[in-house]
Amino acid sequence: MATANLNGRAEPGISKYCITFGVSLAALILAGGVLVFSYWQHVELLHEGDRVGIRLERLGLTDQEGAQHEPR
Amino acid sequence: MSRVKAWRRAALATYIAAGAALTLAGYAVATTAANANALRDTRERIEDFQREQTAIAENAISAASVRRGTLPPDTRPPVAPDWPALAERAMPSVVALAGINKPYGLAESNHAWRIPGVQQNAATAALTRVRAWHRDWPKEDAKRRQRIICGGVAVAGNQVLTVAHCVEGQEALRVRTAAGEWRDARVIGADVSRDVALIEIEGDPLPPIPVAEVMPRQGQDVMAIGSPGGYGFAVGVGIVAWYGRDAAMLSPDDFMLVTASIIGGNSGGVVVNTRGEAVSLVSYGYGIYTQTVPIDRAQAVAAEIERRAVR
Repeated sequence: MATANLNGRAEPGISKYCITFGVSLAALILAGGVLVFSYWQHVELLHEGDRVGIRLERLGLTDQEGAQHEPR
Repeated sequence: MSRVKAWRRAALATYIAAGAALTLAGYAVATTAANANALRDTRERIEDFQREQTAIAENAISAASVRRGTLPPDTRPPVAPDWPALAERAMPSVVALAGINKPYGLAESNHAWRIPGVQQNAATAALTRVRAWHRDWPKEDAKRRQRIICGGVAVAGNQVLTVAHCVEGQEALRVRTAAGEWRDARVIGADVSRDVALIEIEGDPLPPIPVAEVMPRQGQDVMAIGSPGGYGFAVGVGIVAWYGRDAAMLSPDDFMLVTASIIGGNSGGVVVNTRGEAVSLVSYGYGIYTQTVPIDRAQAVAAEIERRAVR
């Protein structure tokens, strides 16, 4: 087994780990962004959803099936 | 440790963390996006419903229709209103309703969960916890205190009639009688879509208010008794402006609109005619006009609530 580095690069495996690290870090940042986005989407649900839920109950529409919008 | 080993470890750790984070983020965003869609669909459904109902109400409107109440019109000889005497006579039957808002907690009483299609799962629970921490809900909950929110009127025995939006979202209710006595109260039931609630008070029954069997005609005088701005047992006079079918706030139904001086806190208070008979309950305001629930309908809904409670 060769122990000497003939092409002059001290540690040939390092670039593949760098790339994996870089891509994983980017994925981690993306996941963080997605989580922040879903947090604000959830905050809107808590605020706006509360208001809409009350309106729905007051209009007596809660007993109707599904939330699908049916064009009339 | 060689540099290669260090990079390998860092790459592996970041790779695993990214995999886990993407899985969690995917789960969370799938839930919140589905909930956002359900919310948008429901909002559109409400708008469609209101447009449709408004068109129906507009098509049915005429000078005759706005004069038509839910009971026969009051054709008895007019009585000159003696408001001071009438207020004195009605007060023993009137109560001021006090309540404490339900706590934020972890959004358990949030109405968003009642929207069809909105899901509750581990992602929404975790995001709600973050929100509670972010906005310091426990501190907000600790600040809650009892305050007078509405009015009500005794109808029979220990039963008091009020409107549903006064009792919804309240954790504990008490009433203050005209004699200045605090009494505990419990909600027998509430019909949110018709804005009527029936509550039971502890202690001796209050004298029931006489109930009209006819509705005042358009233009006739009425007096509203309630708790404007939390000041109980206040009165305001006005006239019957019109009768109409409204679909903006509640399930489409017939209401009596009055011009009496009414602000927030008057809700649930009784409206009496010039003979001191109850004709309606204060519900919602539109500028200077206030939508009130005709007393016959309020009583019919209360009877239904009582039947449901007994079952």
